[in-house]
Amino acid sequence: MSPLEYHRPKNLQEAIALLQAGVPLAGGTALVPQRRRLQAVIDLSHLGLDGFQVQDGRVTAGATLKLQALAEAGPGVPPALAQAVRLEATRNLRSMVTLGGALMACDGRSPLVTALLALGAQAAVHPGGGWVALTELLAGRGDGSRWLVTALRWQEPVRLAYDQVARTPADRPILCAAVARAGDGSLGVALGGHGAHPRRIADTTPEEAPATARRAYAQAEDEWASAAYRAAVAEILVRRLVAEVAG
Amino acid sequence: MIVRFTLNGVAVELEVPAEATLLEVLREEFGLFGVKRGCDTGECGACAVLIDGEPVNSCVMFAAQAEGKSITTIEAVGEHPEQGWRRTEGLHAIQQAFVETGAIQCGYCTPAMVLAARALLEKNSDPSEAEVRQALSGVLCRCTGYLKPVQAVLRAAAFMRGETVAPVSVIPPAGPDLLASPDEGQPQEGQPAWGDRETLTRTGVLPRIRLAPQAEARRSVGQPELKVDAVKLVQGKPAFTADLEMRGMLVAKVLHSPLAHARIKRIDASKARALPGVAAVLTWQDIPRVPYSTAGQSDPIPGPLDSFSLDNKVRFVGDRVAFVAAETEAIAEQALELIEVEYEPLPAVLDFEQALQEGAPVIHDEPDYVGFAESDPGRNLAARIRIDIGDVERGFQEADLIIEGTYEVPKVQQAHIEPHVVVTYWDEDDRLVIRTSTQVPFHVRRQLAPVLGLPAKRIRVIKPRIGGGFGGKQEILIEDVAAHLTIATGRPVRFEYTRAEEFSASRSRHPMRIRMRTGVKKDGTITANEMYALSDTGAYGGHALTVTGNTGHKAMALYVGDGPYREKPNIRFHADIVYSNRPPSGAYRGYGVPQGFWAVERHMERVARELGLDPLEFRLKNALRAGELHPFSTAWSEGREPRPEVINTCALEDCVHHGAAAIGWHAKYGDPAWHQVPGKPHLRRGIGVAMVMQGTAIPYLDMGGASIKINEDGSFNLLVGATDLGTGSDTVLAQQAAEVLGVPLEDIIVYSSDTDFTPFDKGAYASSTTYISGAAVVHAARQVAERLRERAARMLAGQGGALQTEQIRLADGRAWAPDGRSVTLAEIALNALHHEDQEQIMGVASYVSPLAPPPFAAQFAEVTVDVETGQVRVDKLVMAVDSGVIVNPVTASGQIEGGMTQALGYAVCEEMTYDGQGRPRETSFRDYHIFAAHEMPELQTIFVETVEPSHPFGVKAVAEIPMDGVAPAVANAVLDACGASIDSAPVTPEKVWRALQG
Repeated sequence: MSPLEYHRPKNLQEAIALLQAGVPLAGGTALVPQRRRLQAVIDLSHLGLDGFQVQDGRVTAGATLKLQALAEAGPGVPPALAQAVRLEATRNLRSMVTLGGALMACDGRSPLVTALLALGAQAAVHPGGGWVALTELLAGRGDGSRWLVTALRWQEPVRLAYDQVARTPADRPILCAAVARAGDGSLGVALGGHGAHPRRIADTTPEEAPATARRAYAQAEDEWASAAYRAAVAEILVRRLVAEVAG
Repeated sequence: MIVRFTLNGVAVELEVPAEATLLEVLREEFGLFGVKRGCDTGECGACAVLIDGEPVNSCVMFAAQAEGKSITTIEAVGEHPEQGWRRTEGLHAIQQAFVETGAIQCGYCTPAMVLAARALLEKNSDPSEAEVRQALSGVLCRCTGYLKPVQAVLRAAAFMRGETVAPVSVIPPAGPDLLASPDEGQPQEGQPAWGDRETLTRTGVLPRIRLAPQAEARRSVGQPELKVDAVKLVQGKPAFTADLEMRGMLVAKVLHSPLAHARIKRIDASKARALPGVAAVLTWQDIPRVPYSTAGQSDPIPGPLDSFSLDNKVRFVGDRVAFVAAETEAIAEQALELIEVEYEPLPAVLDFEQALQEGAPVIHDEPDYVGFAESDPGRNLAARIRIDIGDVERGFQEADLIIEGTYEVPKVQQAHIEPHVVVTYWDEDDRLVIRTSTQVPFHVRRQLAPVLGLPAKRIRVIKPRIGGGFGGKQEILIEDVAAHLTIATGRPVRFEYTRAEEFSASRSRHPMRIRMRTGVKKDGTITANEMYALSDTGAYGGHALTVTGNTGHKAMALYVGDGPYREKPNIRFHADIVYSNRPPSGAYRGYGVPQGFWAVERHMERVARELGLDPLEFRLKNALRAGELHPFSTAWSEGREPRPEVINTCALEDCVHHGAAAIGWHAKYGDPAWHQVPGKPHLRRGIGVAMVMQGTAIPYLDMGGASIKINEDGSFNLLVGATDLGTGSDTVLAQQAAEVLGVPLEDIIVYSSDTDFTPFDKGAYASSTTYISGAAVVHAARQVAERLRERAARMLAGQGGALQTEQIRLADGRAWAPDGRSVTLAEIALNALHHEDQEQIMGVASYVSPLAPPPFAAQFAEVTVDVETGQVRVDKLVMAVDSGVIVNPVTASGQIEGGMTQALGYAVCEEMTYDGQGRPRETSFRDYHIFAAHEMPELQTIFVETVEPSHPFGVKAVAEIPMDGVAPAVANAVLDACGASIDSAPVTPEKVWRALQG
């Protein structure tokens, strides 16, 4: 067993150059429990990637922004997003988990990523620095390629609504949904609670969104809930959320 | 690698391995044991420290990530106010508030909570309750139910703002109608509530108490005395098992089985043994094969001897395969991977319904299995119970209606935040010391002696502070692992379960499928009541008979019937307790009784509704009353000879009265308007009840001992074998001694427990300590008091006239003559130890009870159900309980609040499930959800006192009964809200949704 290599790059270029050698380390909450299986980590905390700004209705958040800071950021973070952040991790973990880390480590039961998908968030991915839709980024996780998320951005919605069904108020969701209404009236709808990551369901209208949600989760069966239940409740939550963002 | 940070105000630089966590570095490099290990995955928060003022969990952070940061641990927050000649500022205001409000039970999570509170109050000096709950939500507590920690933070905030904070008041003089909490104030105007609910945190710290009219006014018993270990725990002192440094200490690890049922065909540990840093690897071939029971119980063990430290067969995923001791945890883990094991997979019993079927795989086919009573391993039967009281068939024939139902309860975890942990070493006399987090130190010594090949006299078991147990540590679960490795290596060994091991390889509550059948008259008289329980003991059956016996012994005893049936009840309780290839079941707070009351109280609700009767009146009509015979007392006693017991005290009717009033039962139940939520047509409110009883100790068996000696300053050492596992038993035992001796509580120095020094006690289980060990303390204290009075009479006689011993009264640390003259206890002590007729004044006593006086309670729940999704929110829990005289209202209400919270998990979210290979779904707190501070319903505790005549101060048990009725009360409330009848716990959203789909 060789000792873990710990890299502290001072700038983004160094970090990118190290990507072939190790795994990006953000808050560490997902990686540290697996530490004995790691060969090298690249500590991103010294890269200054924890900014947060709102400009002309566009929100840009650094990948190493801590979730607690995001929850407390105020303008640019609608209450439903702050709610999803608080449901994502416990208070202490929110002081550690980063936005990028939450994205890269999430499973299907992530309130935060469900909300970000509804917002149509994009991620800045390096090498290259291009902006990639979260749907694409999530699909590409685990494909073996080495890349780094440095920031996320999304357009401020007119309204964002989030809701979940769980065994207790703060439990991980069996099913969750988020609906964002953009300035042009379009809806972003995402479902979580199942699978490898939450899903943004295909573009839809307010009238069709509930039924689309039901279809999207028609096969969403696992040890936590039946597909029949998830499909039915997806339709109910999306119907409620669509009404909420319309109001 | 080199890391530099500021630690508690001091700049440090040290070299650490890159993979070292901050938790490891703080504990192992700096000896900061206030930072606790709880889960290793960041969910429990026991390891929290402040980094640049923010609470973070140090177990999921590399030490290297702290580079350049400022770290604060509990060791930098306050200190004991008395440090000899050195003046100190004492405890921090937050710590002081935690001590005063009873926010500390086991104390394992307390340092993390204090730090979280400090982080909050440094940013927000006037937080709302919701903000406090959010701030504490990163730290899981399994003991308190969070009410008192939240109160503590609010009190501290007020104090730090310079406001006057009223002391936690003493109980005013007794009165039969007193129901208000003595220090209760009115909620402040505009006070932010948690969500849309009030939780009383701004009002009373003390519970509501209806004092028994015949209770005597006392100075210590009945008072909210500060917990005797609170000051230590709130500072994070190294009081727990793992908080120990020893030169050359090895770390132990266990290789667990990946298969549910298999024979080990070949095992080769040679590569593991060759790994540098490995001190020993033990397989079944290396140690003696001794059948024993891991259940910590009195002799003779009322269950089969079906366990081996290591065996050539594995019986569940997680069973033991090999032990490793190595210089570091990393090396030990690496060694596990080098052990080569060839298994012969065997067919497994994963559904316990199939265990008794003909042709089922036999789980215990070993020839050296030692059975108990009707255990029959060839049929996978660990135990069998057949109890028939009265003429059950005739009772059914006389019924107007027979109502049947089947109910299920899942396997659930104790989830104490401190894992199982043990340190073993040879002392200078070559005696094996076992320092362990156990509820049963004396049973550990007795039961492990043959397993280790040592006489009991060469084993010493030390129980330090325990970070919660709840029955999980009534198991001799891991002590043998470390002990074998110390014997093998000659070196100290530490073995600590990971959280994943807690879920996969410890003990848990027995899952059961229970069939009920009840005969009733149309007027609601129960004519016969029958329960059949199929209970899953998992792979081993140490607690099989006793847990499931209590399912019937307590739950089926409550409803005896009315009229002639009350005189001669007809009750049947049959049970089969079967082996399966799932992790073993064991002891968990309530010990079989919560399973029984889930079935009984769901069923009684069904019966009441079918008859169209009021659920409160129907239950009370049939319930056991004072003066009646405990119906099971002549039928069963944990595998021993049963003897009749009469119920001396029962305030169940008063509990119902006061509990119903507190929750507003009569205004809500049956009122359609209340069940609606204005503006939310998909929501419905509901209210439910369950009535319960428990026991207090095991009669004619459970024994506790105590010794008390006086010191030269008039203080006393109280030594008890009783095992305070965070409940506050040291405190309530000391209060009973203080009451008899007439001294303030701080003059009683309590120590528990050490098999070399403290008297025997059977340990902390069966709700026995306050009653059994308490009576022993009282008897020992009375011996001491008598000697004090004798000597005081002589001393005072010298000052003017002869005095009789019985004329001397002990109070306020003095011995008083009738004419008002007195001597201090310090003067008596000096007289006895130094001046004349020198002697050590001390008392030693023990107690065993012929009775197990049951506490009774009414538990109420209020819920809101989303009838479209099935989601249930529990809004309020009320428990009115007759636990006899309450020795300490703060610690006792802490037991109720914590117990209700665990039971709430049993109601709605906690369960351990397994896949088709027997692999667990739940291996961490991420999936096994326990309630956090910010999602709690309102909790309310009401004590309705009775004076139990069989105890010197009239006490009965309090610790287990809160587990019993919450789950059925919640399910009954869901039924009331929306008509969904959920017979399988927990009440999850999908179950409710399916019930509503019809």
